[in-house]
Amino acid sequence: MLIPGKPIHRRYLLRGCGAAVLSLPFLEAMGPSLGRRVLGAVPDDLSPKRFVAMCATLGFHGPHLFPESPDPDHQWTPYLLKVAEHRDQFTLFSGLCHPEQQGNNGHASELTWLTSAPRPGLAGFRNTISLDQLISQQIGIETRYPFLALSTSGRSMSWSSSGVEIPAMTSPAKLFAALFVDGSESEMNAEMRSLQRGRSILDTVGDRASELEKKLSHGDQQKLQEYLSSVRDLEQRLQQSEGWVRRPKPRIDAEIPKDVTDRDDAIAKQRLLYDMIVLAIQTDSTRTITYQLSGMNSVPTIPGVKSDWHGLSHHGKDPNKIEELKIIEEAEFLAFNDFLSKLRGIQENGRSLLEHTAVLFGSNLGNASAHDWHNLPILLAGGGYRHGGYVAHDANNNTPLANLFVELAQRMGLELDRFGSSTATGVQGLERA
Amino acid sequence: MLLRVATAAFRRPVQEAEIQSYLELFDQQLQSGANIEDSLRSAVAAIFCSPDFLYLIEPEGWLSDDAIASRLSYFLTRTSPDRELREAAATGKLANDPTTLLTQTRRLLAANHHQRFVTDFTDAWLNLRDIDFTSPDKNLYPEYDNFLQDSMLQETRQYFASLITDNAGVVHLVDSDYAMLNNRLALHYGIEGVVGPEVRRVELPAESVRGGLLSQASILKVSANGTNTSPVVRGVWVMERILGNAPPPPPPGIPGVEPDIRGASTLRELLEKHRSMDSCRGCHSIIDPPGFALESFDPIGGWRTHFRSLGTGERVEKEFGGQRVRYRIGPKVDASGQLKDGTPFDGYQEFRELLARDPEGLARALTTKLMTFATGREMGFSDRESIEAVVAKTKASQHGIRDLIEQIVLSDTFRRK
Repeated sequence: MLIPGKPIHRRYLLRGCGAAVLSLPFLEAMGPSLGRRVLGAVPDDLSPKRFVAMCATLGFHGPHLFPESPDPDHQWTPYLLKVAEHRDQFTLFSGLCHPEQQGNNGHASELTWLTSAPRPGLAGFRNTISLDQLISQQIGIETRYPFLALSTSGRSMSWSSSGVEIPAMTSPAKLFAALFVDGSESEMNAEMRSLQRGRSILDTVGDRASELEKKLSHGDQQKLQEYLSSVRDLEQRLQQSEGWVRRPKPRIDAEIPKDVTDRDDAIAKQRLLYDMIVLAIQTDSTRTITYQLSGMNSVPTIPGVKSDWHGLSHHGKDPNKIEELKIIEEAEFLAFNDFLSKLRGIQENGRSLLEHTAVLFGSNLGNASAHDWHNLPILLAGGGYRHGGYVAHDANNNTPLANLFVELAQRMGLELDRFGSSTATGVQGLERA
Repeated sequence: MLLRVATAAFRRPVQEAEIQSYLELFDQQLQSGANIEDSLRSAVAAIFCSPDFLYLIEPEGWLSDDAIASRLSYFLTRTSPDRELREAAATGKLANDPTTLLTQTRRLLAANHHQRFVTDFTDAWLNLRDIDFTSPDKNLYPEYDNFLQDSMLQETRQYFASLITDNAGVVHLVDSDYAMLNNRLALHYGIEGVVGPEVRRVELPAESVRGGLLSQASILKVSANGTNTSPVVRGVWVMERILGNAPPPPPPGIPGVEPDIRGASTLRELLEKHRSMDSCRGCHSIIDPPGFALESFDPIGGWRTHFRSLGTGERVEKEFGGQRVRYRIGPKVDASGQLKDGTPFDGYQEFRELLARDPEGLARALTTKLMTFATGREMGFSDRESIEAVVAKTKASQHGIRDLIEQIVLSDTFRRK
């Protein structure tokens, strides 16, 4: 678990009742830049860079997203229309994918969207580190939380260096409490004790594992390495947390949200976590976030939708199903649009937060109806790139998506020229402004 | 007290020296101001976070008595060894005396909690755990309900359990003169005279298409999606799981054939084009035949002569829940094909007979699956001898399922690492 569970104070529970709406934006002075400016640590034009990656696991119906011509003004497809107001702040790519994603089932490419490891789930498959985790290893130390892994279902896009899935948070209320609710003096003491106790336990079991490792066969040693590396990760995180326990959390003018109780209300769940992402970025609580927008095997609570979502994604070209699917996917794009608007409405060091944040939005399926993992929908927003339009890569001979990842990692300050299955740095059609 | 916790958690006798570090943790917590209870909690938490609890630790070579007890227990009851098994391990006979090992195996198989083994093994082997992965389209399959889904799972689990109890020959995996049914399944399959929701054994007439795993609704559902069936997906399913011959994955860069449920063309017709390419034919001539034979079953396991369509086709004079059904009669099903060696079959029943001619092949495939499940690793080249020995030793009972399990436990592969 990334964030130690913590009881929510009664006061906040009472305050939270009926107040699911967040008031945004709030004063720039509350953000991270003020403290840094006072300290004279960084010049005004240097805001920290952030990275957010979001994957909608049931994909988007291609013909409703991709225009026929590279000039979006030529033809605004139904989905692009929903985000049209940000046309100068995003680029839509087609013709990108990770190679060799045939897996043990049609949705296995979910596991590897941010890692690009081949043959997900098949014999001998071992996942590799996800882009966000690689970034977080480098810059995670700077913030209260080295990263956030979020999800509407619990399945996560983040994978550790030993290829283990990092559990994702699903509760906006718990996330909010972790980000912004300070404990009382005694709660802080208790948390400190519990962190130190955790480290003592890790010491004990870590010693035992190292001792054991010497006695094991090669294959088992590898397995135990996974254990040891999670012990080390956890140790580091506990240590980092200790450093933050007594530092006051950012004070914000927002109420603690109420988790969505209707488990089929997919869009409300998406929106609430989007709002938390904005708050986390704005307060510089973390700089790396992944977010899985999970599909469902049930009927989402959206007016006009009567069939289960996964079933609709397998529309088999049935126009009625595609029409129903469009209602869901348009609602998703609208929620995404509002997220972009919020980031854009917040200024930090003379630029919008969106320009400081590279937002990767897309899916691991290009055509969900046939479980096709080629020609993925990939939209990159913000991040200080020169945007505006639609860049079509070769649909029959896709460009590795990891090429884009290399550029995104470099933008975050990482010195690397390869990531996973990449063959180049960056993709055609994307330039820094 | 920590010694007792550790003995239970580590599934073996624990020496005092081994818990020294946990005692130190306890002392250290106590000295840093925690009370006795919290300090104990820390030590117990550490025991349950330790690799000795989280992993089954098996050094290379022949397994120790304790390691065999753990392996056997996790194989057949899916939990740590019970007292009787631990005591048997303590006598030192589990590793060296086949009779003791066999007695324990039979005891665990006869006990009630082997149900967990049946559930977990069929979940993994037959992929029943994905029964919820798709929801059948309500317009195409209005008769589908939760009662049916639940009954499907019961059918397959209880069928496999009955094969163990009866020590039935391995051919029963593909062909059988009985099925495990309740009233809902009987209605679904068009079998008369089954009253009540409890699943029980029902004898089948010789000409019935039911009997055996491949005609069970659960299997036909997990190998389909919510709207249509793909001969390729079902073919791969049968090859991998029943015949033990996993085809290689498709070469990179080949898109899947996209189904079209508007009723104009069947997936089989769309596939013909794909199969006509040389690079595809090699594998598809192996993969597709079982899938073609299963075309006679719809995505929820109903028997069909025609596909259901939501587009073109004749309307159907049938009501469901007071409403006329929305689907229409689509193209005719073609369930014929030929095996890789050229043997033709005209439909599912002939295909089933062809499968039943090779009990050894079926036994080899099931043994491999069971051994993988029991040892937690993929079977490799060096396990071939062990697998062949199990197949050979079970010949007398036509490779009875219980005999297979017993011989697997006695095999070198199971007792070694």
